[in-house]
Parts: sequence; C-alpha cells; structure tokens
Amino acid sequence: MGARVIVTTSGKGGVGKTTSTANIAAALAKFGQKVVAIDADVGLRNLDVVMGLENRVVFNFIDVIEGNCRLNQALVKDKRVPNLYLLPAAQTRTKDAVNPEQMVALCEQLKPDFDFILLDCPAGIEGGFKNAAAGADEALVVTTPEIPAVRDADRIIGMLESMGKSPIRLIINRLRPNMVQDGDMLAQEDILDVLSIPLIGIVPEDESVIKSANNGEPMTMSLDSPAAQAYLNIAERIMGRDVPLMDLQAYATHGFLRRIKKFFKRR
Amino acid sequence: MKTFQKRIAEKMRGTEVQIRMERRPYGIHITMPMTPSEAALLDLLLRIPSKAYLLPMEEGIVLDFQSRVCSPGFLVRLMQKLVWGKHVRVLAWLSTNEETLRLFRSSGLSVEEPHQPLENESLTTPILSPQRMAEAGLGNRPALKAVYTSLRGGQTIEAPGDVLLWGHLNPGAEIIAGGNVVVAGRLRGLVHAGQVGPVGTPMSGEADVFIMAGSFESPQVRLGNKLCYADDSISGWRKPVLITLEDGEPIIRVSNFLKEVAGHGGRDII
Repeated sequence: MGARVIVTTSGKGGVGKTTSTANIAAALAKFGQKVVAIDADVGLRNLDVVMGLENRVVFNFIDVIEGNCRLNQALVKDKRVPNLYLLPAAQTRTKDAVNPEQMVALCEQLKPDFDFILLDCPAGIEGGFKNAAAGADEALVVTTPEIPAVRDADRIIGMLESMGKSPIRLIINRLRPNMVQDGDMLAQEDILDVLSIPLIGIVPEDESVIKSANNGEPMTMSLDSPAAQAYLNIAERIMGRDVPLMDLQAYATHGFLRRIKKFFKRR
Repeated sequence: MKTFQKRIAEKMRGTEVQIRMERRPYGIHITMPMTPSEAALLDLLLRIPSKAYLLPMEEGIVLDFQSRVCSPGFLVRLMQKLVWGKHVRVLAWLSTNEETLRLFRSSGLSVEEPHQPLENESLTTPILSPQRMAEAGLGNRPALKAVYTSLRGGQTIEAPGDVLLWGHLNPGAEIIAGGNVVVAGRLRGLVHAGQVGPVGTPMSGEADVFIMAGSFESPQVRLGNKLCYADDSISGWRKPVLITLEDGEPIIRVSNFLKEVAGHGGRDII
C-alpha cells in the first residue's frame, strides 16, 4: 500500500499553510511515520526555511521532473528526526514550470517509499493550486478566524470537492480564545457553520510559531508550546487516533488588567 | 443511454486512465483525463464506439480539457480524426488553461459550456418536465431548477425559470434566475431574481418575482431591475424572509415559515 498524499491549502495567503505542513510533517515523523514534505510553491519556496533545511538544498523537484537529477538526490533528509524528508521547490522558476500530470507522476514515484506525502500548496486558485492538488487524495484546508480567510477557504473547498478530494478537513489556525470570548473574533462554531467540513484541529495563536519559523525548527520537534501540542494532536488525528480537542479556554487570560481593559473598551 | 455508457466504461476498463462521460441537458460532457500523453488520449477518444456520438439533432458533445495543455498539432488531429472523421458535433471546447483557451478562441471554437453552470449536474433536477408543465397549463414557462446542496463561493446557478436551492448560498456564490428564487438555508451570496436577457445585463429584469430565504444575510439582492441593499440594521436580517417588489420598491417581509429548514438556532453567524 502506498503513501497517503495530503495537500495543505487555504486559498488566502498568510494563514499558516507552510507552518502547518512543516509541523504536521515533523509530528508524523516523530510518531514513527516515514514522511516527505513537498514544497509545491514554485518560485516562492519557504518550507525549506521553516524546516531549517535551506542550507542543504541542492536539487529541487523541478530538477527531478526535468531529469536533471534522480529523485533520491533531490530529497533532503532531516537529521534531527528520523524518517522526515523535504522535497524543495525551485526558487528561480515560475509555477508554469510544472503541470498537474507531472505532479501526479512525482507523487506516484514517491508513494511506495513513504507513509505520508504532504504537499504545501501556494496561495490562490490558479495553476499552482491545481498542480499541488492534482497529486493529492486528501486535503487539509487551513483558515484563520477572519471573514476573508473563511470566504477563500469556502471557495477552495468547493474546488477540492469538484476535484474529488476526500476527506477534506479543516485546521483553524491562530485562534485567540480571549478575542473569541469578547466577541471580537469568529468562534470555531461560526467557521464550521459556513464551511461545513470536519474539523481536524484548532491551533491557538502562539508567539513560539514565529520563533520556530525564524529558528528553522518545527515546534513539534520540542513540545513546549500550545501550538506544538495542537499540531501533534492534528498529526495523531490524521493517523486515525481519537484525540479530544484542546481546552483553549485554559489559554485565555483572566487577569485584573484584562478586566480593566475590557471595562474601558465598553465605554 | 445509461446501459450504453456502462458498456463503454467496460470496454475502457482495462486502461489505467478513463475518459469521464456524463449526460447533460445539451448532450454528453466528456472530461479528458490529466495524465496520458496526447497520443494516448487521442487513442482513448477514438476507442469510444461511434454509436456513443449518435445524439438527437439538437444535442452534441462538450470536450472538457480541464487544465491540461492542448497543442495546436493535437487540436488538428482531434479535428481530423474525431470531429470530421466520426462526424461529431462539438458544442464547446472547455479549458481552464489560458494557453489552451487562447488556441481554441483563435481557432474560432466555442469555449462556453452551453446552459450548464453547475459543476455537478447530478445535483440538479428539473421537478416538472416541459411536457408536464404544458399539461398543467403553464405553457412554455421554463422548468424549475432544484439544487439539493449548498453553493460555495465561486459556484453559480443560472436558470431561465425559477430556482430552488435546498441548502445554503455562501458568500461569493450566485443565483441568477429568470423567475423566482427560494433559498431554503442561509442566503449570504448574491441572488438576482427576474433576470431577463443575457447574463451580464443585470439591470434588465422582470418585476413580478420574489426571493424567499430561510435566513436573510446578504448585503445585496436584485429583483428585476432593482437593487436592494441590506445590513444587520434591517428587521429581516438573519430571519426567514420573503422579498418582493411593490410599486417598484423592494419589500422585505419576515416570517417563520422556513426557520426550521435554515436550522438557525440563534447562534451568531458571519
């Protein structure tokens, strides 16, 4: 049986597709799965930086497609976690350098050697998205609790459904429990109400995400933040384990200063 | 027709990739697979028995290339071997690839899908056939188009008659109907009831129409040639409504008739 191929997508940019891909890939590898994360964002690659592997990139998957190197030469093995690999994108090419058939063929070539193939999809609904989605069987749709992001996610879900991807599951990223409590941010119920797809996890807003992206070390490699725990839970759910959702209220602060701030805000 | 399509599917089952053929109101919609080379694809198309292309006079086929690139050479071979060779009436050549679309347009081919706005035709069902409508004394009025799913952003229904959407109309989705429109769920997208004339001329319209919604949450609806703007300050916001034109002015009436269908349990929604 070959690998499960999952595309991480969103429609809107900046909602955390690359961060989610890197952390879920690292988490799955930590659970003993053999994982390859493919950066499908040709021309704007970032997954190598977030995973801390940019110094070791020699070839990319465009080189593989064009026959400039073998697949094994382009795969970058992460030395910190066994069984975690990266297949980088080309930075000097555009999204026209690859077509959906080639992505499908590339995934087919990788399938026998891995348990999971995660595709980091570029923002938008054009060629880059179609290339990335063509190779995948399943999809993770990432959204933030903002109306523009939810609307774009809805559009993407419609397109994924028409392409026959299943299951399509939702990650709500950068949720701030305090703001939800105050009614200043969409709650998970509001988002699910619109998108009507199964929720696979909620990642709270966490400054360690920025630190880990800058340090090039996925958070899930060292479990010391709420976001890291959320991504580990998502990875377990992808593997089919029944893991309850985190209690995000625990991360909402209830201090004296906050009550004063809220009092003046109402005025 | 179904039995015949089954036989075609059986004939092609030995191959790794398959051409998807779907029955549509205008004839047959053929979706090209993405993976095979052009030579292999042409071979697949030519393996479809000629009988499959025998359609009633007014019907034809639509070739959907999706995002695959069609080279000029392949287009010529398709014309020679399939269109002229098998006397196939091709109504439209569809593609989402810019380069391929340009090729089709510059070759003088139609690139618009005839009267089929939804991606999944099986979700739409005319409730009354034109014959039944004639029997019911409804003359040549277009059949009701009923859609039994929610419409997501970017999806569109266009119909010459009435439209019933048994689901939600999400933001960014559109219904453009020549007749009345009923959205049983939440109306958050755009509805134009009473659209007359070709799409793209939104200011022409029929005034004797209505829009009914299980929960009205759209910033704009259109009835005939009238635009109606709304926000959460109006009394009908997030409530089941009937919207009509009276003396040329849009009137929104609130009622509970569709509350259960909308499943609006008082939660805050976008």
